[in-house]
Formats: sequence, C-alpha cells, structure tokens
Amino acid sequence: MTFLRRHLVSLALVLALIAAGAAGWTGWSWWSATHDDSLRYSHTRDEVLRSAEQAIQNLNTLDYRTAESGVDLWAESTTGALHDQLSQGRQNFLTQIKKAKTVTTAKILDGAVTELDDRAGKASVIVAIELTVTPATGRATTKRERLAGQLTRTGTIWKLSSIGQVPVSAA
Amino acid sequence: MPTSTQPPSRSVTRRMMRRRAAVDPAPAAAEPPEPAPKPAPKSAPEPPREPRSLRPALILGVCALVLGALAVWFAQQAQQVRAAAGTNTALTDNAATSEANGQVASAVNTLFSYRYDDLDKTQQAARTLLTGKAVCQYDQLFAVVRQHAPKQRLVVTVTVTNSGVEMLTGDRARVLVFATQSDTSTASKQTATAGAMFAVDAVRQGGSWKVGNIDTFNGETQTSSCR
Repeated sequence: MTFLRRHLVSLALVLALIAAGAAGWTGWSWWSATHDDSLRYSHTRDEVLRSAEQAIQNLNTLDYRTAESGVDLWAESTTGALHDQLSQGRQNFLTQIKKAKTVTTAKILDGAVTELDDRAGKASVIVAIELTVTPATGRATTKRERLAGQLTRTGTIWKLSSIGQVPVSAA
Repeated sequence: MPTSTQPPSRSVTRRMMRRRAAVDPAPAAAEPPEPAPKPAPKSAPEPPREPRSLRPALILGVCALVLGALAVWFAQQAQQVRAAAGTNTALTDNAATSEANGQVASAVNTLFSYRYDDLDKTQQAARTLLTGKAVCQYDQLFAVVRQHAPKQRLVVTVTVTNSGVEMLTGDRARVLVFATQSDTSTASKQTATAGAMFAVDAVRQGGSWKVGNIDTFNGETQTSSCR
C-alpha cells in the first residue's frame, strides 16, 4: 500500500513537472511573441495601411446632403499641414459642395506601405482608388487615382499628414 | 521503573491536591479526569494519516491540471499574437523587401517597354521574367502589340515611379506598382504619356523574382482566359 501511494505521488509529481515545463515554455513563447520587435513592427505596418486606407476613403467620400459630418470626418482622419489646410478651406468647400450637389464615393483598389519609421511615427503609403462622382443631374463617372500619402502617429493613432496624386511624369 | 514514574505522579497529584484544596475541599474529584485524556491523543493521530498521505498526490494532480490548462491557454495566446501579425515580412525583412521591390520594378520596366523594330528583344527578355499565369497574360498583350506597334512605329517606355511591397511570405510577394507609360509614335511624331496602376503577384524562382500574375483591378474579366 505504501509503495503504491508513493508511486501515486511521484506520478503526480512527474505530471505536475511536465505541465509546469509546458506552461513555462508556452508562457515564454507568448511573452516573446508580444515582445518580438519584428512581429510588433509587422503589426504596426498593417495598422498603418488600415489607417491610411480608411483615411483616404473618408477624404474621398462626400455626400452634399451630409457634407458637414463628412468634412468633420476629414478633420478627424488628418493631422499636421493637411489638417490645417482642410480646416481653413472648410467653409468655402461646404458652400461649393452644396451648390454642386454631388455625391462622391471611393473604393480602395489596393495599397502598400512603402516606408515605416516606427520610432519617429512616420510612414509613407501608396494607394490605388476608384472614385465615383454622381452629379445632381446626369450620369455618374468613375475614375482611378494613384495616391501617395504620408502618415504621422498622433498618440496611438495614425493619421494622414499629406496626400496627393502621383503625377504622370514625362520619363 | 517504578522509581522514575512515581515521583512525578506524586508531585502532580500533590500539586493538584493543593490547587483543589485551595478551590474545592473535595479531593476525590481530581482522580478520574487524569486517565481519560491519555488514550485520546494516542488514537487520534492514527486515522488522519491516511488522507494526509493522499493529499500530496492530490495537490500535485491539481497543480498538473492547472499548469496544463495554463500551458494550453499560453499557447493559444502566443499563436493569436503571431497570427495577428501574420507571416507577412514586407518591410520587417528589409533586404528581402527591397530585393523583391527592385526586381519587380525592373521586370515591369523591361516587360512593357519595346521598340516597334525590335519586338523580339523585349519578348526574348520577357521569357526569363515571367512565370505561371503571367506568361499567358503577356502573350495575349504582346499579340496586340505585334499587330499595332509596327504600323504606328511605336516606341513605348514604361518607367515604374512608385512601388510598394504589400505582402511578402517566403517566395511569394505582391507589389503595388505605379508606372508612367510614354508612347512615341515615330510615324506621327507624337508622344502620349499616361499613368498606369496595377499589382504584380511575384514568385521567387531560382533566386530571382518573376512576375506570376498581373492584377489590373478589373476583377477576373480581363484575365479570365488565362489560368
């Protein structure tokens, strides 16, 4: 009886040790995954692209009937010089869009992060979009635009600090 | 033996007698409680010994279960963190990213630039730069070029102006490309410049990146005949 009992204890001990080893190993794996620089960088890259595409989508979407909230969203999606530029032209733009009565929607075709400085909080992206402009009267037109933009991290959020069409340069 | 046991018992009873004498004048009551507590401590420790010997095994077993559950949970969390970041090494692997980016850009420049009087040169170079579905896509495109280029005496130069690696996993990459296409018709002496956008799905074969698919964002309509 005592032999069996001793056996049971050592068996339980071995199981507990194995479990402890496994927990140690997987725990370390989790810790190292969350502290892995390249995984974190990779995560940031995806976040930058997501933010860029969302911001570009916001900036290229505007319905004259809900222009105010649309333009508010522009302000939220941008920072720096682009933000200042948009807020300065806000009133002017609102009068124009209400006169023109257009509805613009954008579709993101594709995008890529071309540069990412994690520490400085700066990134560059290129994004291909398709714009659909529906005027008050007449047919909707679609056009494609090649955009290059820069993002700046404000706090923990990435916002667009510049955006523009890539010029067709004469090669 | 009796000499050693007798003196303490005597002194105890004597002390007890003295205490009792001080409180209670009846000394007979002091006698019975003495033997009663003696058998109790002897038999009491015996039965708990059995559960106590099982207890370590039980505690260890519970520990094993808890630690095992933790191990499973940790493993799931680690996998989730890694999966969230994905296997995409675009930009995280700087050297591989710029290699893919550069080779795809130069492949695009070569593939889509041609002279009406030397179409073979471009098509020859294309053989080493294409793979898979792109071979068929390019053949279709170049059949059109062969029809029109000599008539208009066309010289086309494609220059990639911007490109970015969206995805890079091992030997596969997706690169978004913005290019400038400049068509010069030597017949009419006119040059037209236009911008192009497309994505290239590239495959690394034999140490160099090849164009495996060209995505012009038109769904499957344009490339449906190529598999």
